[in-house]
Amino acid sequence: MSVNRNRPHILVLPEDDANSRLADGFHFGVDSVRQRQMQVLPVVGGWEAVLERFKSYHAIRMRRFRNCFMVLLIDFDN
Amino acid sequence: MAGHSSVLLIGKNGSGKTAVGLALEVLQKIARGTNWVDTLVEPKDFTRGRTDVPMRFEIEVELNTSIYEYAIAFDLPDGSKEMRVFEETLVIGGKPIYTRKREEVLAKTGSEGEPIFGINTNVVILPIVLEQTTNNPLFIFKQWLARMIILRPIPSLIIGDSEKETLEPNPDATNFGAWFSGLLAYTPAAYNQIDSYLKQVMPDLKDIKNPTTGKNSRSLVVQFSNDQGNLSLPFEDLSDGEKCFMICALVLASNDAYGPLLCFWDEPDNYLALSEVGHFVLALRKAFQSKGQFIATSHNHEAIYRFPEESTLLLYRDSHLEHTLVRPISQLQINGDLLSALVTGDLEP
Repeated sequence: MSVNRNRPHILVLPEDDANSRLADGFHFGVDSVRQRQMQVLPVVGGWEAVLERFKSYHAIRMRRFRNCFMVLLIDFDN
Repeated sequence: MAGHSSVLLIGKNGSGKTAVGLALEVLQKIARGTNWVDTLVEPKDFTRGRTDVPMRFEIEVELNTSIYEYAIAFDLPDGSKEMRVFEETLVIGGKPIYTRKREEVLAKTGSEGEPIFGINTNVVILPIVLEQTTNNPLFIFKQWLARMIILRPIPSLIIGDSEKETLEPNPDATNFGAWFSGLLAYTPAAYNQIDSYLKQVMPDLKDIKNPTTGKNSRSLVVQFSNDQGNLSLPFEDLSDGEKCFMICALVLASNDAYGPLLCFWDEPDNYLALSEVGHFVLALRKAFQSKGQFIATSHNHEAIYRFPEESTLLLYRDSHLEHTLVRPISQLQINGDLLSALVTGDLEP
């Protein structure tokens, strides 16, 4: 089983590779027993794409799974 | 790969990722007792059939603050179909334990330049050297080399039966049952770690039993339980991915119980659901963070992104006629994101 959708879990949606590496590094440091409560999603390519993906998919999913928390990882560097 | 607790090898098909595991397997076979050259390598193993250049395998490892260096080279005498040992050396902590050139062996106790004894060139020395105690550095090195976990599992062939115990799984993991039995005989507490990992992955797992099925045989049975009832399954009836979870659990517990180990897993993402790949790889990387080393190969972006750039090595060659080049991807110029470069095949040193 991946993250348990019915228990508190965090999905990280990174803008690009650099942000994904940041999130992966954080995830690696999380205690083993809590590691499966977090998942880093594939990069989407740009902060606008992050917002679009969040609105079109994840926001809807969050209404269905109330224990889902999202981190949108964007940096406005371009 | 020194200094990295986990390393990922990426590259196109045929770039040489699996060959790294095959080379380690030659050294592992030697440490596990195979000493006849013709059961280790064959003339067809020479690169592009170049039998005029010796085939060399070298490994350098730090164990208990000592550096162990072992090297062996094979050649093919003119007109012969049988390969022989060309050179073999073992150095521990900078001191040569023995040095060999073809049939002549120089041991550290021998006077300089004088061969101590001669040996058949069809035989490798390392497996036949007798260690006096388990504290002997030679014993420590041979045991470490023999206990390397090299994995290219074929889940459909793993049935969970065993007739003996071992701490030395084979690459296709078909002796999984014997490995399970051996690990629990060696450290019964390892079951807690196996159980703890598997219950995160399969929350309805109740337990794993290994009942006797004959005078000297056992067979693994996996029990699941939830509000709806109980289900007992022979190990062989698990799905391919579930068998990989079981292998992963044993790798984690083995490194803890009798590590530090080197684990080389060729494409650990095989057979797994996409949602599981990242967690699977992260669990392995985490387990080897404090001791041992985990080396994986992968084509799967979910696995690739779970390794830091400085621990990810690109293996690359332009054609089958060239040598493989190796570069950390942190040193590559990647236009755009890594995934796009992988998909388009544009990742080059």
